[in-house]
Amino acid sequence: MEMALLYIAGALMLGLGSVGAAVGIGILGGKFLEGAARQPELIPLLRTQFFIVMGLVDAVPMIGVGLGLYVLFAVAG
Amino acid sequence: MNLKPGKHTQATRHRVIRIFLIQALLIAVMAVITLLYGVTQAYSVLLGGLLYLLPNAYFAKRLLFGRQKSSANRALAEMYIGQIWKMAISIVGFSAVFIMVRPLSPFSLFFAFILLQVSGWYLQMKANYRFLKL
Repeated sequence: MEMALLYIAGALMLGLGSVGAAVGIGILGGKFLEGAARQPELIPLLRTQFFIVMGLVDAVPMIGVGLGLYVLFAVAG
Repeated sequence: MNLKPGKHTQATRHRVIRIFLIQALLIAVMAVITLLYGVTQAYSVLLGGLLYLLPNAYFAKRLLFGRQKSSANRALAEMYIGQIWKMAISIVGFSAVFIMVRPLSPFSLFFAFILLQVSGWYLQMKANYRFLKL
Protein backbone atom coordinates (compact mmCIF):
# COMPACT_ATOMS: atom_id res chain seq x y z
CA MET A 1 0.00 0.00 0.00
CA GLU A 2 2.78 2.38 0.96
CA MET A 3 4.64 1.62 -2.27
CA ALA A 4 1.49 2.18 -4.31
CA LEU A 5 1.04 5.60 -2.72
CA LEU A 6 4.63 6.48 -3.55
CA TYR A 7 4.13 5.51 -7.18
CA ILE A 8 0.90 7.54 -7.32
CA ALA A 9 2.69 10.53 -5.78
CA GLY A 10 5.54 10.29 -8.32
CA ALA A 11 3.12 9.91 -11.21
CA LEU A 12 1.08 12.92 -10.04
CA MET A 13 4.19 15.07 -9.80
CA LEU A 14 5.29 14.10 -13.30
CA GLY A 15 1.81 14.34 -14.82
CA LEU A 16 0.66 17.61 -13.31
CA GLY A 17 4.06 19.17 -14.02
CA SER A 18 3.71 18.14 -17.66
CA VAL A 19 0.21 19.63 -17.88
CA GLY A 20 1.47 22.97 -16.55
CA ALA A 21 4.44 23.01 -18.90
CA ALA A 22 2.27 22.02 -21.86
CA VAL A 23 -0.23 24.83 -21.26
CA GLY A 24 2.52 27.42 -20.72
CA ILE A 25 4.60 26.41 -23.71
CA GLY A 26 1.51 26.16 -25.91
CA ILE A 27 0.48 29.72 -25.07
CA LEU A 28 4.06 30.88 -25.53
CA GLY A 29 4.30 29.29 -28.98
CA GLY A 30 0.97 30.78 -30.03
CA LYS A 31 2.04 34.25 -28.97
CA PHE A 32 5.37 33.81 -30.76
CA LEU A 33 3.55 32.97 -33.99
CA GLU A 34 1.21 35.93 -33.54
CA GLY A 35 4.13 38.30 -33.03
CA ALA A 36 6.08 36.81 -35.92
CA ALA A 37 3.08 37.06 -38.23
CA ARG A 38 2.62 40.73 -37.38
CA GLN A 39 6.27 41.67 -37.68
CA PRO A 40 8.41 38.99 -39.35
CA GLU A 41 11.53 41.17 -39.12
CA LEU A 42 11.38 40.79 -35.34
CA ILE A 43 11.78 36.99 -35.38
CA PRO A 44 15.37 37.07 -34.00
CA LEU A 45 14.28 39.32 -31.12
CA LEU A 46 11.20 37.20 -30.46
CA ARG A 47 13.36 34.07 -30.46
CA THR A 48 15.47 35.57 -27.67
CA GLN A 49 12.39 36.48 -25.66
CA PHE A 50 11.01 33.00 -26.28
CA PHE A 51 14.23 31.50 -24.91
CA ILE A 52 13.99 33.58 -21.73
CA VAL A 53 10.30 32.95 -21.09
CA MET A 54 10.72 29.25 -21.86
CA GLY A 55 13.25 29.17 -19.02
CA LEU A 56 10.66 30.75 -16.72
CA VAL A 57 7.83 28.48 -17.82
CA ASP A 58 9.57 25.14 -17.63
CA ALA A 59 11.59 25.72 -14.45
CA VAL A 60 8.95 24.66 -11.95
CA PRO A 61 7.74 21.65 -13.99
CA MET A 62 11.37 20.50 -14.33
CA ILE A 63 11.79 20.67 -10.56
CA GLY A 64 8.57 18.64 -10.27
CA VAL A 65 9.89 16.10 -12.75
CA GLY A 66 13.12 15.81 -10.77
CA LEU A 67 11.28 15.31 -7.50
CA GLY A 68 8.90 12.82 -9.12
CA LEU A 69 11.79 10.78 -10.49
CA TYR A 70 13.47 10.91 -7.09
CA VAL A 71 10.33 9.49 -5.48
CA LEU A 72 10.01 6.82 -8.17
CA PHE A 73 13.62 5.67 -8.33
CA ALA A 74 15.25 6.53 -5.01
CA VAL A 75 12.42 6.42 -2.46
CA ALA A 76 10.18 3.74 -3.92
CA GLY A 77 12.82 1.84 -5.88
CA MET B 1 17.09 50.97 -30.53
CA ASN B 2 16.96 49.06 -33.79
CA LEU B 3 19.31 46.13 -33.96
CA LYS B 4 19.92 44.15 -37.12
CA PRO B 5 19.04 40.46 -36.75
CA GLY B 6 22.66 39.30 -37.06
CA LYS B 7 23.90 41.77 -34.52
CA HIS B 8 21.11 40.97 -32.12
CA THR B 9 21.68 37.23 -32.39
CA GLN B 10 25.38 37.64 -31.73
CA ALA B 11 24.74 39.80 -28.68
CA THR B 12 22.29 37.19 -27.37
CA ARG B 13 24.83 34.42 -27.88
CA HIS B 14 27.47 36.29 -25.89
CA ARG B 15 24.97 37.00 -23.14
CA VAL B 16 23.86 33.39 -22.90
CA ILE B 17 27.45 32.11 -22.78
CA ARG B 18 28.25 34.62 -20.03
CA ILE B 19 25.22 33.49 -18.01
CA PHE B 20 26.20 29.82 -18.32
CA LEU B 21 29.76 30.63 -17.23
CA ILE B 22 28.48 32.54 -14.19
CA GLN B 23 26.24 29.61 -13.27
CA ALA B 24 29.08 27.11 -13.69
CA LEU B 25 31.23 29.28 -11.44
CA LEU B 26 28.41 29.51 -8.89
CA ILE B 27 28.04 25.75 -8.78
CA ALA B 28 31.80 25.23 -8.45
CA VAL B 29 31.91 27.64 -5.49
CA MET B 30 28.92 25.91 -3.91
CA ALA B 31 30.59 22.52 -4.35
CA VAL B 32 33.73 23.77 -2.63
CA ILE B 33 31.68 25.19 0.24
CA THR B 34 29.65 21.99 0.68
CA LEU B 35 32.88 19.99 0.63
CA LEU B 36 33.26 21.21 4.21
CA TYR B 37 30.13 19.21 5.10
CA GLY B 38 31.08 16.08 3.22
CA VAL B 39 32.14 14.62 -0.10
CA THR B 40 28.65 13.23 -0.80
CA GLN B 41 27.10 16.67 -0.46
CA ALA B 42 29.78 18.18 -2.71
CA TYR B 43 29.30 15.78 -5.60
CA SER B 44 25.54 15.95 -5.19
CA VAL B 45 25.76 19.71 -5.68
CA LEU B 46 27.92 19.17 -8.76
CA LEU B 47 25.44 16.64 -10.15
CA GLY B 48 22.53 19.04 -9.52
CA GLY B 49 24.41 21.74 -11.40
CA LEU B 50 25.21 19.38 -14.25
CA LEU B 51 21.57 18.30 -14.48
CA TYR B 52 20.62 21.93 -14.98
CA LEU B 53 23.48 23.04 -17.21
CA LEU B 54 23.61 20.16 -19.71
CA PRO B 55 19.99 20.28 -20.97
CA ASN B 56 19.93 24.07 -20.96
CA ALA B 57 23.23 24.31 -22.82
CA TYR B 58 21.87 21.88 -25.42
CA PHE B 59 18.68 23.93 -25.77
CA ALA B 60 20.59 27.18 -26.10
CA LYS B 61 22.93 25.65 -28.65
CA ARG B 62 20.06 24.35 -30.72
CA LEU B 63 18.06 27.57 -30.50
CA LEU B 64 20.67 30.28 -30.71
CA PHE B 65 23.82 28.73 -32.14
CA GLY B 66 22.36 26.54 -34.86
CA ARG B 67 21.37 27.62 -38.34
CA GLN B 68 18.87 30.43 -37.97
CA LYS B 69 15.48 29.67 -39.47
CA SER B 70 13.99 32.52 -41.42
CA SER B 71 10.31 31.58 -41.28
CA ALA B 72 8.31 31.72 -38.06
CA ASN B 73 6.99 28.18 -38.44
CA ARG B 74 10.45 26.69 -38.87
CA ALA B 75 11.80 28.72 -35.95
CA LEU B 76 8.95 27.59 -33.70
CA ALA B 77 9.34 23.94 -34.76
CA GLU B 78 13.06 24.17 -33.98
CA MET B 79 12.27 25.59 -30.53
CA TYR B 80 9.75 22.87 -29.73
CA ILE B 81 12.11 20.12 -30.89
CA GLY B 82 14.86 21.66 -28.78
CA GLN B 83 12.55 21.81 -25.77
CA ILE B 84 11.52 18.16 -26.17
CA TRP B 85 15.17 17.10 -26.32
CA LYS B 86 15.94 19.27 -23.30
CA MET B 87 13.24 17.52 -21.29
CA ALA B 88 14.39 14.13 -22.51
CA ILE B 89 17.99 14.85 -21.48
CA SER B 90 16.79 16.06 -18.07
CA ILE B 91 14.66 12.97 -17.47
CA VAL B 92 17.43 10.57 -18.55
CA GLY B 93 19.93 12.51 -16.43
CA PHE B 94 17.78 12.50 -13.30
CA SER B 95 16.93 8.82 -13.73
CA ALA B 96 20.57 7.87 -14.27
CA VAL B 97 21.68 9.83 -11.20
CA PHE B 98 19.00 8.37 -8.93
CA ILE B 99 19.60 4.81 -10.14
CA MET B 100 23.38 4.77 -10.35
CA VAL B 101 24.73 7.23 -7.78
CA ARG B 102 24.74 5.87 -4.23
CA PRO B 103 25.10 7.46 -1.71
CA LEU B 104 23.44 10.68 -2.78
CA SER B 105 22.37 13.76 -0.89
CA PRO B 106 19.01 14.71 -2.48
CA PHE B 107 18.77 17.91 -0.49
CA SER B 108 22.08 19.18 -1.91
CA LEU B 109 21.19 18.05 -5.43
CA PHE B 110 17.81 19.76 -5.49
CA PHE B 111 19.13 22.81 -3.69
CA ALA B 112 21.76 23.29 -6.41
CA PHE B 113 19.23 22.58 -9.17
CA ILE B 114 16.67 25.05 -7.82
CA LEU B 115 19.32 27.66 -7.08
CA LEU B 116 20.50 27.49 -10.70
CA GLN B 117 16.94 27.78 -11.99
CA VAL B 118 16.35 30.89 -9.89
CA SER B 119 19.74 32.37 -10.77
CA GLY B 120 18.89 31.68 -14.43
CA TRP B 121 15.70 33.75 -14.21
CA TYR B 122 17.50 36.57 -12.45
CA LEU B 123 20.53 36.65 -14.74
CA GLN B 124 18.49 36.37 -17.94
CA MET B 125 16.24 39.24 -16.97
CA LYS B 126 19.07 41.36 -15.64
CA ALA B 127 21.20 40.78 -18.74
CA ASN B 128 18.38 41.42 -21.18
CA TYR B 129 17.28 44.99 -20.66
CA ARG B 130 14.91 44.84 -23.67
CA PHE B 131 12.96 42.10 -21.90
CA LEU B 132 12.36 44.32 -18.90
CA LYS B 133 11.10 47.10 -21.17
CA LEU B 134 8.44 44.92 -22.82
